[in-house]
Amino acid sequence: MRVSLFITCLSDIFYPEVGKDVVEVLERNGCQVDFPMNQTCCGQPAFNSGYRTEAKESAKHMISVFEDAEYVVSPSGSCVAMLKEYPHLFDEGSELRKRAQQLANKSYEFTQFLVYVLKKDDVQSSFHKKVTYHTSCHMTRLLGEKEAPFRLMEHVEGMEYVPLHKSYECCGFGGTFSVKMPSISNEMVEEKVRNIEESGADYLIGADCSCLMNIEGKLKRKGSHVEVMHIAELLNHSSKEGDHHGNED
Amino acid sequence: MNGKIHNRERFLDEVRENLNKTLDSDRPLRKFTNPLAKSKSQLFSEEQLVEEFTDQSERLGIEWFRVNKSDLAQKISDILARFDTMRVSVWNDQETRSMVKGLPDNYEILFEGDSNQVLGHAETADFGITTCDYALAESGSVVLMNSRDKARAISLLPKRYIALVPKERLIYRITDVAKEVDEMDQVPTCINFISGPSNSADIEMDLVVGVHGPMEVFYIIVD
Amino acid sequence: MGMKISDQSFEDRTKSGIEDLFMRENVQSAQDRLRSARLNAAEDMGDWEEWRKMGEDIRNHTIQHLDYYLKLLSDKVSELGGHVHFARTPEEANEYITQIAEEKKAKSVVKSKSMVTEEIGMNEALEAVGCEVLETDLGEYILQVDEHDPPSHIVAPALHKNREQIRDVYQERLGYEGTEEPEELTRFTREQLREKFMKADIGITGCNFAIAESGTVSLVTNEGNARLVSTVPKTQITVMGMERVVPTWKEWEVLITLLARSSVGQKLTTYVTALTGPRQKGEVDGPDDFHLVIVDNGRSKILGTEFQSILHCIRCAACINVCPVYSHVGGHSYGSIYPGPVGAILSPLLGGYEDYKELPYASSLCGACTEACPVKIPLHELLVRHRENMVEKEKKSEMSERMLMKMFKFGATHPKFYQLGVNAAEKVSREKDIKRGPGLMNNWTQSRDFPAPKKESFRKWYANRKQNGRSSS
Repeated sequence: MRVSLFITCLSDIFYPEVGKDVVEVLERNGCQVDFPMNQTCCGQPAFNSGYRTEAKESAKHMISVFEDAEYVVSPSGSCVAMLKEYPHLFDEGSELRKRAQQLANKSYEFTQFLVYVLKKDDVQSSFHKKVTYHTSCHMTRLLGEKEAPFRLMEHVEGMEYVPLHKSYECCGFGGTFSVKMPSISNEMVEEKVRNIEESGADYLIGADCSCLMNIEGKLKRKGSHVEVMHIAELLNHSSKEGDHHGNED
Repeated sequence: MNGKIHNRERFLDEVRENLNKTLDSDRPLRKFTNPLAKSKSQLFSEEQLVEEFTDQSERLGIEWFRVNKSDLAQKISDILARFDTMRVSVWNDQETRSMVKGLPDNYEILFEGDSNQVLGHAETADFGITTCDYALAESGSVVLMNSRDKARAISLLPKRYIALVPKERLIYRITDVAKEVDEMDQVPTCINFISGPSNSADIEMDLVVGVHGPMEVFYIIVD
Repeated sequence: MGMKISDQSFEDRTKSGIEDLFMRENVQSAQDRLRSARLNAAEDMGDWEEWRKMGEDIRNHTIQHLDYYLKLLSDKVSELGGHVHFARTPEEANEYITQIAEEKKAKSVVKSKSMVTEEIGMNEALEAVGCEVLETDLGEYILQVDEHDPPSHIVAPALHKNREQIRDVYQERLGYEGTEEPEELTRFTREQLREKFMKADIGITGCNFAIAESGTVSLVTNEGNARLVSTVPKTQITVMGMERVVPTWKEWEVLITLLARSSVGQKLTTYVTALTGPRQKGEVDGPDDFHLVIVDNGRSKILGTEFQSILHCIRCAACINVCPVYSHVGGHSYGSIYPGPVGAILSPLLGGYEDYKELPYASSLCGACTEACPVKIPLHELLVRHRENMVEKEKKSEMSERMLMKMFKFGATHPKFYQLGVNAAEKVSREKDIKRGPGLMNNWTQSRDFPAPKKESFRKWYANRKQNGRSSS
């Protein structure tokens, strides 16, 4: 199976290890992973700020970058939700809308792809820690994916999962919201972090680097012991050489 | 006599202009029926409806009883006797009158058929008593179609309220009532769906009973 | 008071909201309770998603044919002997209402809760002609007694006040001598208001839904005040926003079902009252005169635009009850009688961008509102539409943001340039997170760390790996 990876800008620059984990998990499960070098950003920062014209240009570019891909897989529910928004940017009946729809149809968030396309709930990972999970808003509400990460986490050997109080609440990232409305955003992430700490988990798992960056930034600022981990890292865990997340029992 | 309509054409022209449409000559809606509320009234047996109705009533803090018609007067007077009851305000329609027959004469029973007195009476009454046109199992509600002698005030102004519920009036939900009303030639002036005592949570979301209307509600289901 | 409730800046309003810890705690506990009540009530239906779809279809159809249904409604009300006044502006509505008050020589007016009467500033207009106007919804009454403190929630208007504050206000203004117990406060209110009800000349209600085919207006309350308002006074005036209409009783019951379950998680509210015309001959009680005032006040301008679906709103407040922004800043921060997501969309439409330009940005676009809406209004998408309007039509966005977005577009469409950006990021890489960033980034780093770019971006890692022949392709 041929998979084209859409890495997302955040992951490319700030969390490259997430991309490596995605590649390794996919390869281990029989995929050929290709990374189109011309890819840029999905355009969401512009789109959500009201810059529709600019977002359309990004969309056109990304549509052509992934034109030949069989599947497009990305470690971000939010960015995949944006790819799925593309068709609405173009006029009904237009050629671009058709091409946008084709891209939307073949795009999957990483855990979705594992569970629904590869039909794998168990990717043979192990992690002997207590974790909780952040259900990011765009992944659950816009993409509508509430199940796949949990089906995968259930099969991680040795891991203890604890529920997160008010897991449905937004972490306060919201793209430009976090810098446009910093005080409100801060209250939201304060609350999120409080609930994470009260869960008793050692690790917070998530499927979106943007939320994780926000939550991690707050955890660190508060000097919390809780660490943040993308689900791709978790699912690639046991096979890693030189475990950088501490020793396992 | 028809009431006046002011300022309509200009107002609706503006609406139409913005909707970018012309005047509908025909009724625009295909006949709508709610496909989801398959009438459970027909699927549920009478006993199931009673069970659901009483369950829901309890959740709303409504005390309910079930009696044979012959024991009804006794049951009503038992309830009245539990409180410091003096005046009782009752619907003046034939059905309600006949149902409360046989109440002891130590209460002042006011049958509200006089529009000059009804508000004053109901305001000072300790109890209001009415029958109902429907009762809804799903929500534990009674439905009162106020008209002529069936005054609105009786279920509203007295301190406490008793609804008499003939068992055969039980249906499942509001959908069934809406369907019946939809088919009526003349819709009653005032229809009330009542589900429990008057209440409010406006102060710190703390539920308090008895804000404006009755503080307690009783249902007597009559077999 | 009108729709606008504050002259303070948005920053000042949100700052005092965030600092009001009691208010936030109260709001959050109310939200939690209402949220779970709503979810239970929805689950209890078994097929809630289909009910939502049905609600959406009904609202969509009705608004699409609004002119037809308003005509039908007014014809029916008139046939029953009621009077109908179509008011395009607040002035037109208030002029008509005060005229009735003057004709009736009314001294006292009792009112049940109505957002549209707040919107048009009706109370002030009536007071100006010498009427005492009394709010009878407990929450609204409390606010009125407290020198017209504005509402902070469309269903629970006094949500921002605690019991001690209410006790103090009652003591000061009404000579109340009891405790802060809600039960005692409520009992006191009952006595105060009952007396007023019995003497009132005119009752004024809002309208949850009007049924076109039968000329009916319907009201939902838990307190029963709308029943009193429409039972005791001889004259009844109902004021409705023009979108509050449904075709027939059959559609009505669907919307009542959605409203009761979504707003308070009840199967039905304690009282659902459907009033069809004034008292008919031979009837024992009810008002002799009935007036229906149908208000536009900027609504028709929304028709035919990308915002039309906001007129589908049934004012259940489910979106407010799940909004994380509302939960931290409270209702007054929105500066409008319509707070929360619905307010952030509606207020700029009815009141203009000048006064409400920040509201569309007061959202993380988390979509909780859209998920909760019982008639499936795409609320978070409409917020984005507002942002687009401000950028593209109103040119209200900041210069720095426009520059940034221009650069963004260039980068996103020129992979080489994008690559240069990634390379530049690699160069500023360092071990430690950033604790204090420059410019806009400082808004972030004031309260949280920002990660430093990694030495080797993913794309570089991938390119190296491919060169070394470890690629899978």
